Amino acid sequence: MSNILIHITSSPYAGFKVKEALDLAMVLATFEQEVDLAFSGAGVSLLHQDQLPDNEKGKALFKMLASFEFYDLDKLYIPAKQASAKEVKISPLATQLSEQDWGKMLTRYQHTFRF
Amino acid sequence: MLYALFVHGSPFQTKACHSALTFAKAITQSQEHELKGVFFYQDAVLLGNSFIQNPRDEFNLQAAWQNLAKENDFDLFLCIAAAVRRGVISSDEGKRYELESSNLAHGFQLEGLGSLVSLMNDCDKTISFV
Repeated sequence: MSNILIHITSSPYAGFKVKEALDLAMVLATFEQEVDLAFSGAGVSLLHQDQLPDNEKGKALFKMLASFEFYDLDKLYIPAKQASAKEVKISPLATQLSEQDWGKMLTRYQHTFRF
Repeated sequence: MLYALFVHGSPFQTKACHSALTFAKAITQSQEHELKGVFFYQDAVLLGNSFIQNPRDEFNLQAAWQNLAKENDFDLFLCIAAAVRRGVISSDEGKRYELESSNLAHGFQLEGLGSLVSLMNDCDKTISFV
């Protein structure tokens, strides 16, 4: 078993990158790999609450977050600074980390895949 | 050391597939290291489209991967979901979707992400090319 970090730095609405990153996270978890997710930069917008995208602009990816607990994907991290900088509510599913803890977190995985 | 490569970037918009090829060549030329397989995900699966007509005076990336994999006996996997979404279709998928033709290039295989998990767990290191 591997412990893996999926680090999402792309916007969920800019292409398929984030959709396929979340698919990867769920499949890896299904195969009993230990998977955590980290969000920074444009990727933080996946965690915004009260999103209302229409179908034409892409799948409502943030709705996938609600199903993560069934895959034991319960560790979602964001840098606290980036969460507070946004004038929107961030999903309570995500844990906000200090700069120091964010740095430590990034080093504790066997594999890190950035999307 | 046993390696797996995980390639995400488009062969047309990025140099991910080119950089991965250079890395793969270095592994295969080494006495100490071995390449077990390459898993193409996201736009990198476009590399497996046999309908690509490469200009004759340009480097043929697809052929380079096919030859390297054949000469060194490692696998070239394309994520099946990412490939089908982008119109890279094996004969089996062609039948499943009732299509008139298929276009999976020789030497590539469509596999689920489960094959990536096996590949990663079988290898000492997995290197990503974005």
